Amino acid sequence: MRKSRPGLRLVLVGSLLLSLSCGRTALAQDAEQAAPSDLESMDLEQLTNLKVETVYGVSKFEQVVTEAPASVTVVTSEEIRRYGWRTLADVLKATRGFFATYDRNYSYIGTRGFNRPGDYNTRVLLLVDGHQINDAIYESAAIGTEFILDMALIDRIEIIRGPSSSLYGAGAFFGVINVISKSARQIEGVELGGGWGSQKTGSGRISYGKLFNGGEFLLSGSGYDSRGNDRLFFPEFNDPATNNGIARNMDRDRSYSLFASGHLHDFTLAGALVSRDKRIPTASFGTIFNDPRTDSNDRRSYLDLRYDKAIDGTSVTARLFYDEYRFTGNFAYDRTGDDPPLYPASYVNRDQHLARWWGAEVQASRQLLPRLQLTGGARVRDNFQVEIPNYDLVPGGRRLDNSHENVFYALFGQAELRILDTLILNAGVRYDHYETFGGATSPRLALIYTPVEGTVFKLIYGHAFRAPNAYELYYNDVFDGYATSTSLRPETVRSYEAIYEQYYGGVLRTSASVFYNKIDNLISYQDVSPTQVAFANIDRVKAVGGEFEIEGQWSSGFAARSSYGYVAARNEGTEQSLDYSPRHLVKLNLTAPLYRKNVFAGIEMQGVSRREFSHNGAGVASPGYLVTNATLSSTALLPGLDASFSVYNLLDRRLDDPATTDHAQSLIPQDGRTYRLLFSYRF
Amino acid sequence: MPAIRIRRCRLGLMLPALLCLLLGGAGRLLAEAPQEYQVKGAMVFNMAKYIEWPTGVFSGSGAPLVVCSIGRGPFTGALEQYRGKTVLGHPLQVRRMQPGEELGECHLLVVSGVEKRYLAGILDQARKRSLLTVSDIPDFARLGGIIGLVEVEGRVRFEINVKAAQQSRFKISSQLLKLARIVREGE
Repeated sequence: MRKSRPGLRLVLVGSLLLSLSCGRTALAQDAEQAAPSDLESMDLEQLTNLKVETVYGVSKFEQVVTEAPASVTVVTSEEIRRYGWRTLADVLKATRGFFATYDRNYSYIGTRGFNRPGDYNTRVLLLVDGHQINDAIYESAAIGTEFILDMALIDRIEIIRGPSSSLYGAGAFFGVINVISKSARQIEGVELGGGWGSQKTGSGRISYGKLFNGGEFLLSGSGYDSRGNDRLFFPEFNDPATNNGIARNMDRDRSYSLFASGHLHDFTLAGALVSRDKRIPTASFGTIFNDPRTDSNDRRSYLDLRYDKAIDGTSVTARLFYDEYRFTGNFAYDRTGDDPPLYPASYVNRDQHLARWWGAEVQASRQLLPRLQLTGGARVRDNFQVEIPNYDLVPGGRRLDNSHENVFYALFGQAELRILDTLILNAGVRYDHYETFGGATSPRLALIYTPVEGTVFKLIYGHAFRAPNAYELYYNDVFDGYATSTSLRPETVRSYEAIYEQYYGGVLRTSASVFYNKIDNLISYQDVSPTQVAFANIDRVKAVGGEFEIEGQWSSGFAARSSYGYVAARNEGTEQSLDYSPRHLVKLNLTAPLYRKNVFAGIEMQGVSRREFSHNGAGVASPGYLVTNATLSSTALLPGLDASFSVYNLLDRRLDDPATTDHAQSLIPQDGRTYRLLFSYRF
Repeated sequence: MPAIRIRRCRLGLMLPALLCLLLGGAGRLLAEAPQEYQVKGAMVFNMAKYIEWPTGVFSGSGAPLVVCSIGRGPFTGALEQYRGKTVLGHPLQVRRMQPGEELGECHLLVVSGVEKRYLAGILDQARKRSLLTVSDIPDFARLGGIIGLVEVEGRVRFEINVKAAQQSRFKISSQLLKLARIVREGE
């Protein structure tokens, strides 16, 4: 029986109410501030020379946030700096209703009660400047050190909750993360960046931005090297034969990335590349414990040419892209009786995967009637090379070749009808066609009601799908461990959501939402025999939840955000709570100016409640935790110099994330207290 | 492990209490630099003086200059304080508009925080009515707007699309042009 703890919930709700009421007092104080009246008597030259306090956070994107047919969070580069977020996973951990787990190879997104360690985030669509990052094999959204863009190059991140297939397509099952990169205007000249941290971590970056007559460009290159946690202990392997459970120097993480973007007239060309090597310390997939040969390399790259133009009142965006993804996984095994007799005592089995694809997209938006804005578009993608072979690195050893190709296209449209000045109806529909299973239609309907300025109600119904990816459809290895199933159907989700957002002046904002998700044909692992698994459309999930958030931002430089999320997710097939699903998520983020708005302190706390799951036939749980991170950051203390110092897991708590059945261990230990010093210097 | 659980609960209560304490103190500190949108609002108010308006746009010498703003967010709010002030003898009126609304009575249109897909339609409508368009949307001047406000190293600067201004029969004074980056459409 999984019982909830009313005591804890009561405390949380009470404390949130408390912070809401105190927020109101703070608001009243803020309103008393005198508005600078001498501004109007200044001439334009004086005004252009004034150093201003830039507004950051949600208020700048109010329309994007309030009129979107979804609950949206906008994260800015300032917040990334002030909280010392190292990866997208760090950003999501601080975002209402999200969390992330780490199996010491990849990070997995948790949202709306749903977190599948090992699913490579195939149910969240990740975009960089509108370009899809999810690859053509695993459809993975890389949010760890394998993410394609250096965090210092991010201008802002829009996190769109709920199924958004109608506009964004197949992957937008639980939401969309759209990362917008900085332009040359934000990094003009040369910028050098560097970082040092615990676990022998170092990073470096050089960026160059230039504006010229008719255009601009930005070039940047980054490198990262971390020894990682070099003495990870796994009690499951506590045996003299396996180094007493200690994975020594097995957590190494190295990456480099390049990014270039530029525009000339109406064209924008962007290119990016990332390559990351990670040792795998967990001995997953039954590999030899503490063997440095077991590692993974992810290499993702793309070129994207975009054309933006307003033609007689119609906004037109066209896009042409070319993408590549390579995955090399090395897995060290001891020879067993099932292996060919001439094999050495231990050998490496390798996944050497390569996908190449290109595609095009066109989108047009036009105000058709005074109150009707129509957007329509089409997209085609040709996955012309998908190779997922598996072989043993043994001369004359086993080899399984596995090549595919497929094409898909989509048509989509969205209508925004302003029924009244206070009421918008947003209706979208998308049709996707896949060679593998045929077509899928995703509708979405939203009513956005703004009875008075500052108050927004949204009612949203959405239907989305996720196509089975190449990995789920075709993957097998030389051990014949996977029974491939080419008849997989898409997963579908129906989502109902009600949102209430309230703005109190330009200072405070609250958001409350409830949702109900019903997921059918969920693709899951299934044991077909003791030695073989298969992906199948087996699970059905129902999830009910709610989120509450209060956010404030003061001209004095203080900013605060606190949220609580509750979700009850149930697997209808097993009639039990959904595995890996925490009921409660609590967040607090706080920024305070320490010295003249040049030095800031940022403190964040994240709480994730207990997660229960079955692991190799046993019911286990990862305990709930509350983790605190603190960052001291400074901007322009010296001209051009930004610096920050962060302490992660300040109280050195023991944290564990759940493991999948690919691991012998049920819990994966996370890092204790670590430090990072980061700087950038522009000249 | 009940002891740990209690401790966790107490921490949960402490978080917002801490937040409360800090927020209570936050309001008392005074801002040192003016807010971005106060400056942008002052710029809109001031720049109207540096524009030679097409003849006949105002019905008389004391007729109001109507500043319309489209989009949600702080820009609209920052304009409110100039309501009733006079520019070149015209009292200022400030109106909030929705995308798609009739812009017939506007003279100056401020666009802020609207999604890009609305922009082409708004600009098209503004062009037909010869409105002076001002916005802080990135690349506004390049996309066909007249005056863009861009942030450069913590300062608000102008970008002016001279061709768009001429098409809508505005003459922009050399003083204003001197302060601006001149942008050609499509660049």
